[in-house]
Amino acid sequence: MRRRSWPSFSKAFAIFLLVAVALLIVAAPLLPGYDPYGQNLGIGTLAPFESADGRFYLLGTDNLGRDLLSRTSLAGRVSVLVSFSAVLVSLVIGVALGLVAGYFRGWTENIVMGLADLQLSIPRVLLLIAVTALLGSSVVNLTLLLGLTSWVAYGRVARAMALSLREREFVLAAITQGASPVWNMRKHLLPNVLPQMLIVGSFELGQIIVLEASLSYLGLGIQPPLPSWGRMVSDGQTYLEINPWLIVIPGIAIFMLVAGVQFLSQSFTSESEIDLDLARKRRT
Amino acid sequence: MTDQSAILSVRDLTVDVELPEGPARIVDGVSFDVRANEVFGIVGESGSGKSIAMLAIMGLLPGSNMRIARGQVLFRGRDLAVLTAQEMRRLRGGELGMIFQDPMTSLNPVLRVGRQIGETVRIHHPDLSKHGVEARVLELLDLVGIPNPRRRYRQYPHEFSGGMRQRAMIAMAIANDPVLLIADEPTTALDVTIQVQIMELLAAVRARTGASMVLITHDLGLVAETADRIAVMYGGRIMEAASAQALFGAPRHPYTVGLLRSLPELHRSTESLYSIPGQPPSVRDRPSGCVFHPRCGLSNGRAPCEERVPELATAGASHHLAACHYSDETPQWR
Repeated sequence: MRRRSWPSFSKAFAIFLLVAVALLIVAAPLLPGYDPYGQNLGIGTLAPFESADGRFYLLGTDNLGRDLLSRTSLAGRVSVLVSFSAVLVSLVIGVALGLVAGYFRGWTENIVMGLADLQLSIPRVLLLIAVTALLGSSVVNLTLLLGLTSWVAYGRVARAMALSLREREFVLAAITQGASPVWNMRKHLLPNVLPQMLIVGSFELGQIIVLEASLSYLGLGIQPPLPSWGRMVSDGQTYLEINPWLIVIPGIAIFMLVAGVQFLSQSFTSESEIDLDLARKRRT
Repeated sequence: MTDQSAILSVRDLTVDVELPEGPARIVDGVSFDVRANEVFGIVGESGSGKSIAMLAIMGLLPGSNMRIARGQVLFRGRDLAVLTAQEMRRLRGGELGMIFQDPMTSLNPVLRVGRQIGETVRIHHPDLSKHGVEARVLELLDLVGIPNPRRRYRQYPHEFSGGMRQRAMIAMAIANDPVLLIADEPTTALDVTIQVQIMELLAAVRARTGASMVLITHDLGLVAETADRIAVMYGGRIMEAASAQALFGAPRHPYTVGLLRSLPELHRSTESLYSIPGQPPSVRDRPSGCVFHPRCGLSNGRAPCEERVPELATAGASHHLAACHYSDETPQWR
């Protein structure tokens, strides 16, 4: 009984958090007075629920007098866009490499898994800092980099599954009907690994969000004037004594999104039988 | 003894396997012909090399530790050894259809049955339209006696019974009008009443398409009813090859005699069934000379059996071959 009630509770909590974040990023721009860029130096660092110049600021304003609700909302859109795209990029790369490695075995497998180990041996944050410092940082760059450096979890799980799937008789049956390796991977292996890959993806998503926020916090991620939660925290640090809400609000937003994604991922994991240990080994 | 009408000619096929303790020979000098329109049965117990021989013919030896050491496979006059991987793929599922032992595992559980059969069609006819493929699949489902094909088309393998799945596998195997069907124990995983239906279906399908069939099995009764000619394999070699009638009526190899004697008979009540003494040899240490000699009642410790490998030679009738030094003595001995 306890095994069943826990996932459903965490699932409900996850859905609650995610709906709240979705409201913030989808509904807030529809409100009157949505303006993430408009500055008003006269009313800087307002606390939440204060009004100034005949306008109500639900979450207050930052040091330049910009509406914090609008900025948190836009930052959320950017974060979600970057992290979902990065997960998609890494999923495609990881699944492709993993299936190829598991299906062909031999030297192909050695190369792919060697690459994976190489990737794991370099701390991801360090690698990202080095590369963004070299290439400069844009939303597209950031997405691609996050995606390119996160394929190992998918690759490992996909390879492990491909290793057992390739021995299944329906693959041999397809080969005797003239199927090529590419055909087999696409038609027979992919549909079998995809549900598990989506679960790995949901687990990875939370980490990518945190990673993006940390890079932005360090000034290497999303660049101003585009807002991002990480950047908002680092900017707000200076005004910690005047208005702590500048840090707390984006912090809560990050927490809600990441916790929501993670709890949901956990409940998916416990509902399926996937062995996430393979994916977890890669935590940096 | 090359047969002009043969669709499949196998000559001296030898397959080696690399084991940790050294190389071993799983299939040793196997030769046979499959003629147009006939059913050629290959009978042998587990480990006799019959399935490996067929996989070698199709170019599908499992693992990298097995290889064809020598021999030639001619399919409709073409040497399969010189074909490229792509040409082989076009052949498999095209002119060469294969049916597997276990229909439970030969269908992908996450794909609808109709789509799976459709893929076999699409591999070989990539230019066919979606509707063309679907029409062909429905026709195939109907052909293999699956009732309500339109509904079945959309179902998943778990919604099919064992017999139905084997019918679906047969539909896949005949999707591109093969000239030769290779059936590797097609009914072993099915219960007896379904076995009969599947064998009848295969006969009906062959009658329509005129395809030849290689039937690999360990079921002597099945092969007696179905095959025109039969080869008996033991220890990686063909022991005896003859028409079904001659093989069952007047076997010339002591191993075949032993096999037939171990069958239960209706009109004879026995406490225990006869079994050939000893165990089939492991691939690692096959006996010298005739592989069967340590278990052979006819050999009785005679030197040639231990020293020389008997050739597959004419014994008795002109198309009756047996690999035994003393095949002349077999009729009296049994």
